[in-house]
This record gives sequence, C-alpha cells and structure tokens, in this order.
Amino acid sequence: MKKMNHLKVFGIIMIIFTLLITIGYTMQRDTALLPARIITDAVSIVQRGYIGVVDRANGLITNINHLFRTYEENELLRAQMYNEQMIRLERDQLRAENDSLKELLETGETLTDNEKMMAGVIGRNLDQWQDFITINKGSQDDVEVDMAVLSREGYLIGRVIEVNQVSSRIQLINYQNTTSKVAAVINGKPDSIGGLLQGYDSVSNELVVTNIGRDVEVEEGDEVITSGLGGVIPSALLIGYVERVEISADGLTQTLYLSREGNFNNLDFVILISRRAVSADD
Amino acid sequence: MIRLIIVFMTFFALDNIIVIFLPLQPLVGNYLVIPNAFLSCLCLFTFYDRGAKYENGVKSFDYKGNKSFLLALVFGVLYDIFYTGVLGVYTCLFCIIVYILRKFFILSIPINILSMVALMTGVIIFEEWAVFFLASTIIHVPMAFLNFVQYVLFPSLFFNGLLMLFIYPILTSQFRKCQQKFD
Repeated sequence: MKKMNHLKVFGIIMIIFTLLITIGYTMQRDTALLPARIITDAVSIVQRGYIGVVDRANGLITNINHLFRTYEENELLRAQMYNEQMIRLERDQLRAENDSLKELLETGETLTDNEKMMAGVIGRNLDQWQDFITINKGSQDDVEVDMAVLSREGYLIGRVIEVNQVSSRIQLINYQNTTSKVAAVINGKPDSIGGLLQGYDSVSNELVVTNIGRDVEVEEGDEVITSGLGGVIPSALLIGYVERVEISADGLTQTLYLSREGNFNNLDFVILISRRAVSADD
Repeated sequence: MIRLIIVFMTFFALDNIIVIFLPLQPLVGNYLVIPNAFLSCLCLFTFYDRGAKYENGVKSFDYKGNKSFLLALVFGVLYDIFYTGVLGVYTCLFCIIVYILRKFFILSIPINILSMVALMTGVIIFEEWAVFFLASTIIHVPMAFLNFVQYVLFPSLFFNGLLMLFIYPILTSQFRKCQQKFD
C-alpha cells in the first residue's frame, strides 16, 4: 500500500475546516458580503438574458394556445363584466365611506394601506437549503427589505430579505425559520387573532397555522389572512383556506392545516407589496 | 475556452429555467424534481478534459487537464452565491465530485450515452445526499430522510436521466470541438 502523504491529509483537513467556517460565517450574516452582492447582480443580468429568450418562446406558444380558447373566454368575461361594474360601484362607495370615517377618527394610515409592484423571477433553487427566489427588481425600482410578496394567484409566499442594485432575494414562508413568523387570523373571526403561520408540510403541501384559541369555531374552507400585527407584513393578504383542524399537543390551542392553489415550485412572476403604515420600531 | 464558458453558463442558467418554466409540478404532484443540468455538464466535461498525444502514430491520452477543476471551482462559487446564499457548499461538492471522477472513473468508463446516464445517477445520489446531510446538520430541514428519498431523490434521478438523454448529443459535440483545440 502506498503511504499517505502527510501534506495531503493536512490539506484535506484544512479544506474541510475552511468549508465549515465559510458556511457558518455566511449563515450567520443577515446581509450578503459586498463581493457576493456584486456577483449576484452580474449573474442575474446574464440570467435575465437567458430567461428573456425562453420567455419569448414560451409566450409565443401560449399565445397560439390562447387563440383557440378566445371565444369561450370572451363569453365568460362578458358575463363577469356586468358583475364587475356593480362591485366597482359598491367598492367606490365603501372606499369613500371609509375615507370619511378615517378622517373623522384621524388615524392616518392603517394596516391595510399598501402599494403593489410586479417583478419577474430570475433565480430559483429547489434543494434543501434556505428556500429563496431571486427577482429582477432591486433598489433601483424602490424595492425595500421586508416587503411582502404574493404569488400570481394572490397568496402570500414570502418577504424580501436582501436588496441589491438590480436584483433582490425573497425568502419563502415554507422555509422554517424561528425568527420570521407571520401573524395570521381567520377572516371574519377576530377572536382568532393570536394565530401564527408556523411552517409548511412539503409532503402534503399544507401550511400550518398554530395558536388559534380553543373557543374559536373553525370551519373547513375558512379564509386565513395576515393580521398585520407582526409589524412587517401588511394585513389582509390571503394565506390559504382551512383544510383540516387539529387540537394541538398540549390541548390548549387549535392547529389549522391550510390548502391553496398552486404551490411554491412554479413561480414565474410575483407581486411585491410594501407596507405604508408605520411599524412599532420606527 | 470561450466556447466552454458559454456552454457552462448556458447549463448554469438551464437549471433555473427548468425550475421556472417547465410545468413539472402539475404532472408530478407532491413529488419534487431537482434538475441537475449543470452537474451533468460538469461530469461529462471531466471525461473530455484531457489532451491527446501522438507517439509513433499511436494516439494516447494525457490526463493532466485541469480545466475541469477550475470550472468546478469558479462555477461552484457562482452557484453558491446565486442559488444557495451559503458559501462553500457547492464549491466543495463540485470539486470533490470532479476529483473522484478523475481519480477512479475517467479511465474505466467508456463514453457513451448509457454509461453516462448510469454514472449521473450515481453522482446525483451522492450530491443530493451530501446536500441533504449538510443542510440537516446545520439548519432545520422540514423533511425526514425516507421522505426525502421517496419524494425528492427518486423523481430527481428519473428526471435527470431523461434530461441526460437529451443533452448528451449537444454536449459531446461541443466538448469534442474543445478537445481538438487542446491537441
């Protein structure tokens, strides 16, 4: 047997230690290092080129597909349009009423006030590390850290954690992190205010909301929305619909399992929502 | 070298494009498919990373090429920064994979489509397992190991096998041109 070179063994051990140190160091930091940010921006520009080409081809195919279904869709939309007018009138009236009431109360901006922005997804990795996506808007387009992010279907999917010049990163809510939980409430049931979006069951594709009081009557199909009390994410963003209810292990609270349309895997564009109301830290 | 960089960059982006644009999820349900186009490209290139010598009219190969290491290192760093946000995972894994391939497999495996699919199956099992192992050691992974095998590993293997069948002809034609330039 050939004798193992001591220098080689030493080198391997050094490599393993360097690996562990860099992993530990980058895991601990909230923001990425400056070189990493510059490289992310540079790579994202290249990725944008590739995605633009594929997007064009994809758009062409879907356009041709849509052509065949135009008539049906048109009929459906026409039927919806009449409804829409009614709803719009009602909404305008409610908004005016709301504004006047707000003026009366002098509350200023409330938790539901927000601004919307669209962004395309340019980076996604499906492996087991921190689950995040990269989008094609950055500080140039007024993206800020802690903006809430919705999927195309309108469900809450995450929040912005890092902003570079022309790209930013979004952490998805299915990634377990003890420091970032979302305050949730059942729509129309204000006594369920203590709810917390706790995690995601990837096998059954269900979101888990804990800490709902025993006395709250939860029904299947109830809408669960954000309450805005966490101080980061605006209120009244849809999280999902109640699929099943369980009593928690300690018997004091209820745990809800939510289902939703689509999942976290095919995201091609997202909607960013900024919170205008002042949070507790400011 | 420019051709190589373009090929590698394309496959680097291909991983991403597959995840974003291919509607896999409605087809496979709860299963999660992780595309590994870049890793396939890197492994295949390892087999072509050698110069040829002519001695007395006989062609023999020289296995001293180190471009595969360099590319593994550079694109590993890019992969880490752009996709995972944690430095050091893929940088190290890609280099280890290239090292193992060069040390044990490059001489003993013929380059044809079936052997490459088989090799990629092995490499992906190793890579995904290593990533899962590291991730579950350092952070919390919401999945047990057997679930991971059932819902992630097997579908990924199947998908990457199929992917390899499609990309093998493209890659080999490109790498042959690069190899001729080494000579």
